[in-house]
Amino acid sequence: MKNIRWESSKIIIMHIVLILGGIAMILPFVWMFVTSIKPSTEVLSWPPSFIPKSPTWENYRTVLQEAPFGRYFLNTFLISTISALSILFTSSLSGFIFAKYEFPGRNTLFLALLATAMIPLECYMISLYLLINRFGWINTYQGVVAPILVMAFGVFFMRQNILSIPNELLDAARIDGCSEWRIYTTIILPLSRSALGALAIFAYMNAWSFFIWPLIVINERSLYTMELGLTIFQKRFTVDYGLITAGSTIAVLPILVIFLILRRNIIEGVTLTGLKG
Amino acid sequence: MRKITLGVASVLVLCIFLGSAVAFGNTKLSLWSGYPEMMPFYEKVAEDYQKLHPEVEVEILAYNLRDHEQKLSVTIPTDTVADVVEISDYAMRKFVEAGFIPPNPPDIDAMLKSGSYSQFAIDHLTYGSNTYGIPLFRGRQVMFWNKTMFAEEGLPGAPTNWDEVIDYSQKLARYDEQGNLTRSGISLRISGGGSGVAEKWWFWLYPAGGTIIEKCPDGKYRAGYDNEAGQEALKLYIDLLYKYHVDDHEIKHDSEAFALELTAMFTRESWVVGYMQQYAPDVEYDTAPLPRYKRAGTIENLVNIHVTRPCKDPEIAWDLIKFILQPEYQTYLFETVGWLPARDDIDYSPVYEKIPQYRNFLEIPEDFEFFGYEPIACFDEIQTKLAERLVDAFLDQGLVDNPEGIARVIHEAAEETNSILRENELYHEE
Amino acid sequence: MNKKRRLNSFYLFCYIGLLPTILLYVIFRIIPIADTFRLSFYSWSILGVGNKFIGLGNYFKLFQDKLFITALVNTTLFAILVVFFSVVISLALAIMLNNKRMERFSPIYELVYFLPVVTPMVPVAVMWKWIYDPQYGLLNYFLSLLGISPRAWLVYPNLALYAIVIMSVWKIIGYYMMIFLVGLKNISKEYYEAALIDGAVGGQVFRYITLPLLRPIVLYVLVVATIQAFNVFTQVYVMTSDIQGAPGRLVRVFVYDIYENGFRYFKMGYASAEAVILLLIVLALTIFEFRVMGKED
Repeated sequence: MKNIRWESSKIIIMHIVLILGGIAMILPFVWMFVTSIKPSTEVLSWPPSFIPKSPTWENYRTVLQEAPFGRYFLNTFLISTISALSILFTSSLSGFIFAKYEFPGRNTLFLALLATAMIPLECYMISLYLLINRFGWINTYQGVVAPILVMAFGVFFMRQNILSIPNELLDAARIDGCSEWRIYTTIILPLSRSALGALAIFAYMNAWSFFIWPLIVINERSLYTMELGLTIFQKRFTVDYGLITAGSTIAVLPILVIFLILRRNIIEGVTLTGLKG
Repeated sequence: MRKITLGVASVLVLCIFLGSAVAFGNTKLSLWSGYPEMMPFYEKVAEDYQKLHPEVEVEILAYNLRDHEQKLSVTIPTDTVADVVEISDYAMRKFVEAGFIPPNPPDIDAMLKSGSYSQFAIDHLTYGSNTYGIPLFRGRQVMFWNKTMFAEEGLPGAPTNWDEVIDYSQKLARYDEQGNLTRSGISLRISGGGSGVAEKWWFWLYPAGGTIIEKCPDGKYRAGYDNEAGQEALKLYIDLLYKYHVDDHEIKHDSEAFALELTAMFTRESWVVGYMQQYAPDVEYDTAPLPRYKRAGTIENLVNIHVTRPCKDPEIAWDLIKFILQPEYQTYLFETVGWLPARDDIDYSPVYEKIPQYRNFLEIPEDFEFFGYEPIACFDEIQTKLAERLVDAFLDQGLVDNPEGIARVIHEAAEETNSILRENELYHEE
Repeated sequence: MNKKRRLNSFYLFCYIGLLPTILLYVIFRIIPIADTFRLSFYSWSILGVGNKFIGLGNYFKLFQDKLFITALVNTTLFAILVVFFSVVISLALAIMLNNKRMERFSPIYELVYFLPVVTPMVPVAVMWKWIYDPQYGLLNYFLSLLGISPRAWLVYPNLALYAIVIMSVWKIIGYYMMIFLVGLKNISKEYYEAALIDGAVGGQVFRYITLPLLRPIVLYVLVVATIQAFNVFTQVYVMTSDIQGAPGRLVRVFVYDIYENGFRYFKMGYASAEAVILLLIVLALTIFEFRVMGKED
């Protein structure tokens, strides 16, 4: 009896903590949305108000009209998808190899790969730009997506997750005559579904908010990503709050949708008992 | 597995579809601007130009200024930049000196020197025996003041000298019961990243008789504020902050404060007029020239327009530029965007009728001098590092009634300025 | 028997499997980064003016540069605080959400906690500037309820650092929480069932089953958090950018200093040397973390 009461109160405490934290998490987002439906004259109120007196969709109308956001969305979606697919493939395969195989140079190679993530893009951006220029890829889709075809953290992440897959499973498959590639496709990939789902979200997120590289590589409107499109609302000295919050909300929504879709993949943990047969 | 291949295939198809948008036959001109608020202006001008020249396609991209400058810093040296670029002369200078920018063709050079533009502009756009670029618009600073608040205190208008600045701002400031400032008498620029703090301080330094760097007869420079002027300008800020407490670090600042009526006056450029119209149309305010002291002046920042080296059709590009610079568009720029047009030979009084606050930007008292960013590459570094030192100084209450402290701060800052000049081989040795 | 053939097919698989990844890395990362290394020994500007080899000159100058030292100190302090709090809090959150009774509510909480991770930086910065405002900010309001007097968070050097720490932790815990959740879900229920049969109790289960099995993931989060903390830039840039009317105080961090030197002052060689130092520091910390946490089962 006592056990159940303790369990219930533990749950309630957890909920309280999570809800308080949740409010802190959601507050800026709520403000962002609320501001996006305010008319200009209400935007600058002090202290800021959370309830608009005369809400309007005007900002959204302006944002969607002023710039071909449909096209920007398509561009961003294309680039993000290519990036995500490439990252999922390279990270899972490489992660698998680094986790389950021993070969000369493995640890050094892995560390070297990880080290490339320790310098942010801003630091070597100019060298990369000169390289891309030499390929003739300035102002092209290939040029934009090039730096995000791989993700060192992705390789690392998959490696850590695949480590926990028991070696017995792999050995059993090998005894059955499976090639290494088939082990990868039929055992590793399915067992890593949750990790892959999470990685896909991170890759999408990364690519979606990619700004500084598209800024210098893209030279025409038809290739613009959503992030680039939003900067037009940042005037020299002020931010057009109504417009930029509307634009930001539009930019954020697809990621949230992708998150919800992929989330189901993540949370379904996989039990090994089902596969032992 | 099949789903994945299907997915990848459809993505590739999308690639090909999106990548294949190509236009044939037209001349394409691209223009990059560092001022997103200029977009409506550029779009109208481009539209009108395309009506007259249907075989020319103009695409305009605008970025926030920092992003714009960053993009240019990579694209100009690699010849991957747009055909036409709008940028301030001091930011463009380093590219001009490195040889990346073609000089103006003779007709543009003549137009620049024809009397439509000030000598100040001509000087700033000259390098060697050529001129580079032609001004499109400019920024000048004035004092914005809240008419309602001033009338409340029975003050005739904006302060005209430093004594009045101190006196008026004391009368205009408001406090609550705990003594916290609830309305600043004047909103100073005392914090923030970049070089803005130094730039705004310059507007007080100059009337006091100093300047950031002064040019010496041999063409080299040295710090121009390691003197009484610099010390007085710093002392003014310290006194306003701590002795008279008419401004502090806790209250809101800048245009936002002015719009929310949390300050009685502040200095800024003409874009504030449009800002106030949009966000706080009910505030009654006006503009006035900057207060004077031993002399008077205002900063002038020119934003110019250039044709770049990789442009394949420079004649058409310059033709477009000449089109943009016509009087009707200068006036249109003024009215719709709010930045000051660069041409001096146009009558802007119709604009003043509609928006009286603009008058004080272009109708300047006789004895006002103009100063601007020195066209040397390291000026940004000098200003930014000076700004950081000033931010720290403005936090130092110990500088009140402390002339030695103030002198020390000024001197150390000037030492840094001079060492930057030395690094760039621009320092004038005594 | 076929051991040699097996080993060979292993190696073949490894090297060929790694080939696409390595190729992409070499072209788009290693080459530009190596170029940056090279530039660090030069006085170099993209303008091509005055470029010359100066050996270790940049490195000597850096350690005499007051701004660089400030950036170094700030970033290190920032990293320690952010890594500690973000890892601990996100782990706690993940454990809470992993509880069987939370299953129904988990999706909503996950979405809510993930929101800060995806919300674009500009609206986030504006909102936080309000939260930190000395007069009407939420933070000072809550502190006043606890009897603490209001502070100008974004104005004074130390406070501004803590303010950015709080905001950075806020922005990232959803991300690490998801990673921990993945790790927790992958711990086979069998282990828990076995522990239950053996009579283990809550805390013991956590210490002896969960934590050890979670070790690879904890290592991951630690390393990633360290790297991301040392690379902090966007928050600082946007919070103190001169765009938004009431600017906050600049907290000078590593990447900001690199950015300023490289892109505003065009001292690419100097900035590259700084980047190299950043890399070495983070590499050292990462190796250290691997030593401590990396012992795989």
